[in-house]
Amino acid sequence: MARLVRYEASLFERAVGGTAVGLVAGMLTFVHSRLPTWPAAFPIPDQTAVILLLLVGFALAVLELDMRSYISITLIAAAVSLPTYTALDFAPLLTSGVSPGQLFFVLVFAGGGQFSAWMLFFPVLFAGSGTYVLYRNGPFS
Amino acid sequence: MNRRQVGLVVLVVLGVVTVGLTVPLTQNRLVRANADTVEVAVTDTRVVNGTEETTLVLSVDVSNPTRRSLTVPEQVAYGGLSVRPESGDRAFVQRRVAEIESGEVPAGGSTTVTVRFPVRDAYTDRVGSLLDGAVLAGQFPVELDGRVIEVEVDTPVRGESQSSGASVDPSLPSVEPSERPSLTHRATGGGR
Repeated sequence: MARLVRYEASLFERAVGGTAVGLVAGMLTFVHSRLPTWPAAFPIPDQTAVILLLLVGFALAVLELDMRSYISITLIAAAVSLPTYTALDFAPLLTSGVSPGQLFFVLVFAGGGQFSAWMLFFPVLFAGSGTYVLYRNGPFS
Repeated sequence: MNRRQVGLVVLVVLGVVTVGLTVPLTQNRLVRANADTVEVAVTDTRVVNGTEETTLVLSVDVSNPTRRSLTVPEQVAYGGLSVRPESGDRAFVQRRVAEIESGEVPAGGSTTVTVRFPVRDAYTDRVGSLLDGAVLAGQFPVELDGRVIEVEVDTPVRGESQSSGASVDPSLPSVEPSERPSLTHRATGGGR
């Protein structure tokens, strides 16, 4: 069996990749958490966002990055996805001309819900990557 | 195309799909959050004496300053839309059976719809006096992408638009059932 050569991403690639994955993960967390307000005129399955984030994790693993690159990208993604999700969730508030003091108040006392939702949802990304690792190295490889 | 390139293409496609899901949901949330900018005003008030019951018929102008078109769903308003007199008995209309006519409210435009309240039998002879200073109050339903938003309403039944002479007889004459206003609505304005 040929030895797998993993790709070592440059710092720039890690930054861009991590930011992109973080934005996507944040948006998917938002879609998943706000499905009850999804337009009823265009129904989508309840688990759409979960499946998409699983696929993102799977595709990220398909890139076969070296461990350091993969960890860098997921750390940046984690750092980007929480503020992305929080900003989308608070979009009505942010566009209503809220003062910085009020925003701080809201983030401190209401941001916990967003953090909890993100904590539950973001690991789906790793589940997707893990699925690929099992596929490549598991009993079906 | 090797495996890595396929992975990269899949990531880009997933990103596009995600943006496609996020944009309508965000727009929907912003419109819902700005639902209080939707204005509801009574432009015409009439009392219709039918053979079986007396009905208070209100022409209601719904203005939509948001960037999405809204629908007024045809329904019996169970949410508590009512006509409340300034003083006296509040139960002169049957508040749980307000019939609301449907209508499309274009983004940045307005539409006039009809709302009917059956008047309780004991109050049919003094509806006119009860309407002095009365307000249309409660939750007025509008629909965005198939989901109902309740707009808080507290507007005079004999509003400013009426006192300016917009086809309203201040004495609120009784009209025959054959003169009931049609269920058609007019829409003004347009999308932004």
